[in-house]
Amino acid sequence: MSAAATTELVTCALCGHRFDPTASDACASCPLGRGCSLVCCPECGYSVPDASRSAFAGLAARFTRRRRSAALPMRVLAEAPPGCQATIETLEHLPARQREQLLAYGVAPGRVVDVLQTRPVTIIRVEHAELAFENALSRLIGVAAPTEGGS
Amino acid sequence: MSCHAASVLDEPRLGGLLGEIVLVGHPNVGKSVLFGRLTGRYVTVSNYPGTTVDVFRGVARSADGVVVIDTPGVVGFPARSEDELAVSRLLLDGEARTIVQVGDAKGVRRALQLTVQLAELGLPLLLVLNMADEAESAGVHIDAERLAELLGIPVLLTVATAGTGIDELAAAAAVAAAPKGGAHIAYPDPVETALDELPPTLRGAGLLWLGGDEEAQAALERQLDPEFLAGVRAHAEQALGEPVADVLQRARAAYADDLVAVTVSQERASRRGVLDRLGRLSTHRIWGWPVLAAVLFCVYWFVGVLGAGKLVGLLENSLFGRHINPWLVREVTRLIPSGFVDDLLVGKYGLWTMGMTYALALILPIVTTFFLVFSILEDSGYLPRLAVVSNRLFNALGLNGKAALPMVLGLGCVTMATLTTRILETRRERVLATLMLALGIPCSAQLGVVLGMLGSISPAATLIWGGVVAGVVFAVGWLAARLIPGERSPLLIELPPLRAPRPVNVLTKTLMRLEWYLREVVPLFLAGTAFLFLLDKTGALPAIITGMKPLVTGWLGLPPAASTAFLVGFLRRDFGATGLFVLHAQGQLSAEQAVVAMVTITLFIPCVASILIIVRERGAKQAAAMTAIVFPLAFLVGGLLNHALLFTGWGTG
Repeated sequence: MSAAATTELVTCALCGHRFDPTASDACASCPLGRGCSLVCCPECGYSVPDASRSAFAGLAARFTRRRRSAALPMRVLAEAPPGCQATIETLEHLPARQREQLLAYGVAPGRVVDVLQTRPVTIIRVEHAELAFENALSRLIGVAAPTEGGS
Repeated sequence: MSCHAASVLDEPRLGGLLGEIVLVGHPNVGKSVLFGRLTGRYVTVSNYPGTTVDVFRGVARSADGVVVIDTPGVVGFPARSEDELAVSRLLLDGEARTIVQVGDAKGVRRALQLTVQLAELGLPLLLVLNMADEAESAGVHIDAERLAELLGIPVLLTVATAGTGIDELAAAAAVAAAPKGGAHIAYPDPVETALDELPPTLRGAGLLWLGGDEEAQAALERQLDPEFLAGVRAHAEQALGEPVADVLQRARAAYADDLVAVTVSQERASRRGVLDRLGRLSTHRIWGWPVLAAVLFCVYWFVGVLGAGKLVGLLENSLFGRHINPWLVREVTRLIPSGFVDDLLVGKYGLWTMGMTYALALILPIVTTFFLVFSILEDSGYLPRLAVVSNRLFNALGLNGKAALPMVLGLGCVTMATLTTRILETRRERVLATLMLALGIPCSAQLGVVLGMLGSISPAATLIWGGVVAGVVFAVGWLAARLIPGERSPLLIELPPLRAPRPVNVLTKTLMRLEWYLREVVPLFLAGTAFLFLLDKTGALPAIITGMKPLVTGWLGLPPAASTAFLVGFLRRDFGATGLFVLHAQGQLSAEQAVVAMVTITLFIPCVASILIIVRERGAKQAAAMTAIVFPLAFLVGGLLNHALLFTGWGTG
């Protein structure tokens, strides 16, 4: 988690993209931006509450935040936040059939994949192909610490 | 889809001609479109993996006597599912003369891993990277010439949907030769030692066998001693310290990486479009459900309101009821004085007044609207996304979300959907899905009749019907999942990109399915009507109605006339449902009776054709067991519902 160590990233509720809320040029030039607690997703334009700017959003986020912080180093794909890129480290814990399938799709150790979604199932993109699989499998896929970007 | 089923069954074998070109590749890369371009023969093309579940043959347009074979998509070898095994068998049986591998130009690395495996078979090979336009839009640039040079085989870029590169492909296939060494990998020593133990001509099959392919194992065991083979494998695994399959896979992946590094460049991808965002929404854990509800509402409106309501009303009441049928009855009675022939043609159980009127005025508008909307959904790529949304639901039934595909396809035609269960990984999952299809998935014709009939009563009637049928399917599936031994396999599915449906393909598929309907269903409707006519004339029908009285009138609480609908329902349940629709339209069924009748007939086995397909796919024993479960269960549930509704007083007024 390179960027996430310093700034709390925001996840777009519409498209799942994770982005830095302070990096938006549009907010800085907006006349209403000063008191506004919304940030616009750079991918889809959807307005998302920024928990760091709004007391209500912060309270809601405390109740809904997932137990594992996104800033912690990830060990399995299921824990990688949507919008990040993860480097596959190992598939050895997967059942043979599913390991073969993922390898055939190019999901192999060392490959960087875009994590698009983690619930209700994990969806990743590898070489323009999108693969959906259960979290029971993504919990068995070892990954290096994810980085921001990708989708 | 349905035509697909018919053509699979009726397919003449074209072997023995000059040569065969086999199209092989990953699912959903455009093999069937290429097949159509090469042969002029249309097979169903859709935007989801698993559309092709059988091998199709056609004669190449550019070269007389050359047979082109379209195959189901393979994720890779070793083959695991039934359709992958069929491809493996085809390649190893020596039927193929030239392999045309079709790959997605956006995923060259993945395509190359399969190229290596196919090249190792030693047959003439071409690599076609299809959807080159999409790759270009995604910023992927491929140096095809350099790739061809490094692989030692022709590499072509095509856009099959637009016909780009097809002439070049036909020309290249005609002169294709075995790979010139480029695509062969030198594997680690223990693997090469194991291969050296086999005859050199079996190197390709040997690699598939070492990778764990069952078909390759069977092929080798026909020529070599199984104990010898087991010893060779054990020795290789001992020397490697890990499964041979992993070592092979790693070597192929590394080889593909090296090739991609020098032949493919990737620009920064363009920003996501509307369809991409919609695709994300459709699999979102919250937004996925409203999207599904919107899709279902559109289907309901188009099929139930427009098709079953307005179009049926227009055709049945206005065209057939006021013009065609009165005129035909008048003319037939005038021209043919025989009362028997008159009755056979235009009587109560007349071939025209019942059989053709049901088929053309009642069912045809419904299936037309359904096939149209279904083709749009298929081409859009939305259907595989249902696997994501519904995975948890199927989990409870011992399946995974992939089972959503045959279930949804069953709404079009249960017979074809039974074939599609081949995309499921295990035999247990295929049995469970087949049982649920046979039990409670209404096909397009019946669904339209149900929506039209119950929709005219009240939304509550449709909800009761849907709730009871879904509840029964769920309960039987839940129980069967616990009784049938084996474990559920977790979901793993590729999601194709959402695409705007191509009007030409949508219309072609709709017309093709309508042709199937007219050819397969109309004769059955006529046969059923003739059967009823004969029973009526011989006096057997009243006896049967009297015999069925305790069941139909006593237990189900329906009028005696409903017996005839159930009788033909054994032949095709939509035919039976149409009979009930007419009874309701004539005011012979109350709201309560309409719901009971529709629930009962929906739980029937769909049709004779579907029973034959179940026999073919699952064997006579399982087909007999399913039939023995389904029919009694249908009457049991119908009767229980009748008594429950009578107890509550719903719809009896």
